[in-house]
Amino acid sequence: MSLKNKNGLPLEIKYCIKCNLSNQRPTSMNEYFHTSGSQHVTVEFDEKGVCAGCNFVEKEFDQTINWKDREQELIEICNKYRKNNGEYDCIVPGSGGKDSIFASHILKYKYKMNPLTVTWSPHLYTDAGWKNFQNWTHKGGFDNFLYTPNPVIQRKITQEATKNILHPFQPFIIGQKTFALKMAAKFNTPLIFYGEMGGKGGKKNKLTDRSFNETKDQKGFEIDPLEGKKFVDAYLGGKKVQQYLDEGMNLNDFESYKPLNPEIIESKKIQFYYLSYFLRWTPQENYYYAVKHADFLPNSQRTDGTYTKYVSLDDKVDGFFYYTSYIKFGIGRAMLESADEIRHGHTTKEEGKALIKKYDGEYPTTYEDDFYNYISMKKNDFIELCDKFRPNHIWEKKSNRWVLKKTL
Amino acid sequence: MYKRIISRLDIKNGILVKGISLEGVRNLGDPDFFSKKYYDELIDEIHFHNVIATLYDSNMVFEIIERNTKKIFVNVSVGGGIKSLNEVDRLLRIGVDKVVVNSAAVRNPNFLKQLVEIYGSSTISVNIETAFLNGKYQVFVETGRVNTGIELFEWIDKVQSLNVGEIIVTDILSEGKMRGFNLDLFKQIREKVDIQLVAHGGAGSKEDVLKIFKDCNVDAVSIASFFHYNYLEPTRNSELKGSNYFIHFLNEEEKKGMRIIELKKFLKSSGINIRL
Repeated sequence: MSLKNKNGLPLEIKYCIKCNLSNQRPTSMNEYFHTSGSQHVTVEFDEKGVCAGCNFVEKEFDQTINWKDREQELIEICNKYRKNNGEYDCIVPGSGGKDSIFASHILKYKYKMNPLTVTWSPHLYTDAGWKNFQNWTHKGGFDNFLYTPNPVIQRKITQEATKNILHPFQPFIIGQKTFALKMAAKFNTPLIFYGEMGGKGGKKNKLTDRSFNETKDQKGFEIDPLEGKKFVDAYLGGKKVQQYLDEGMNLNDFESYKPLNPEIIESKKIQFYYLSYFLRWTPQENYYYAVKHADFLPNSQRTDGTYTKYVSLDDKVDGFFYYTSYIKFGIGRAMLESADEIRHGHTTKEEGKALIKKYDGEYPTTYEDDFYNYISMKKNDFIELCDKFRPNHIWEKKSNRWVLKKTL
Repeated sequence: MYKRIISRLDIKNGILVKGISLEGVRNLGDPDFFSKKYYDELIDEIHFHNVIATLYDSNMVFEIIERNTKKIFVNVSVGGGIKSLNEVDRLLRIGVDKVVVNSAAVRNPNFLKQLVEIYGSSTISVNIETAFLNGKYQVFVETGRVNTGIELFEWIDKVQSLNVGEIIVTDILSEGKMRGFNLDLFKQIREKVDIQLVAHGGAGSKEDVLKIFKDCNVDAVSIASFFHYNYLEPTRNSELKGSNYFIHFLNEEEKKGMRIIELKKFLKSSGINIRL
């Protein structure tokens, strides 16, 4: 058993021998109980030093999986749920990025489903993100339900999430998950298609996990994220809901974040599937698909902190999500994205290394003013705050500069 | 003077890749397979581009180039990440006819000046990556990843004033989409430049190519996807990866593109001065 720090991060830092990913990489957790003392479950490495993400993706491309059978399973599910009475028969949550374009488009046009696409608005739309969202529906041809949670409240939770757990993206992560479920319940459409399985990124998934509710123990996607407790005892932004109420906010302010009652999920028999279980899922191929079918536009320049132009680009807060992850885990955006491309054969380990050296941890300047304005914080205060979240087994100060103790 | 058809081969780590809008590195297979086909089918020039080289600070792929210059007897141009006289020297010695620069020239126009003085105008070509953004065409470097903020036509003036023999203009938003060239852009550029002008980005039909020659009077077109996807064959024996899996499942209707000879015949019969 390797030694861990107070948040569950392994004290011995290792990098995957195949994709360069650090073993500090946390997998999803139940965000409703995410506080500064929470324990992360990190990506597992096997005895050879290969991360779970590499081992998972490798199986998708050797002969382990019979993809014809998998597609047949999808067809059977579609046949079971498909409606011809004009109603929606599945929910596809998404932002209009490459992955949601692929999922919704192929379900509608190849598998003849009638999806309702649903979108939990980003904190702050980028221009490219808004254009892509528009193109998704305008060019792709979909009904879409765009939901904007009260931005005043979302700002408040984002502030708290930044202060308490250095996680400015948490409100979005919480909101989008529960939102899709609520829409499924509201429209009596008990079938939700998500895109990528967490296992591809190193989450502890089995290759045979095709849905959330068939495998009840999915961390970060619990059927009952409140774990039997009351909503007021859950946390948002690392702060108890009750505490917000004590400070004068009311329960309705948090309605958007309140998870759907698990009894409704049960009684309406809501099913969730990952499309990547059924269809071979290559993130970069989704980019080609999205350009072809919905005029998806990559960023006009490479995104801060990385070399790519096609990944996760719709929210101005996004850059700070990756930046804070670099602070807390020593893992920047270039590492995550190159690891993914290495697993899928686009990039070599050596190229990945060069990209990480060049871009990882780059401070996201593009939308910094918007971000600080959004969380009502001064840049200096934010930088100081970041320093408090640097684990000392990852970081050290040399000639007044923070450096990674163990580099790739 | 003949109008030229150039095929552009983006190379990464020894593999032919192809993106859209200078993004994505779909793995199309062995570059030698394509260069041989293109040579056999009467291409006028082959442009090997060491794509996203500046991102990795990677070295020029000399082996591929050397192998090719020995068996392909058309003009060979090479670009991507070139930043030193040594590299240029070595490329010319292994049989490359023309060297293409972008990032290094934008960052250091003196380097460009030096290149032209030493090797001559006809040996040096500048690839200019541009996109229309915030009301003007701006110049990009590092395979369309960094916006320099420099206005396109100012940079073109500068390049012309340094006696560069040729510019290859890549319209980033059209590149890889196979939906036609940005005619408006190339008309504007043609009005400004007397040197060789190569249009890159958008060829998706024979009519597209005819139109850019007729409407914009460019000297050459640079074509990638429109040829690659025609000659592409399922590489059934190759290892299946995310980066190439689409080839294994490519069906005939998705095989868009055209043979070089057919394109050239069409252009010639439409009144374009093409070598056959």
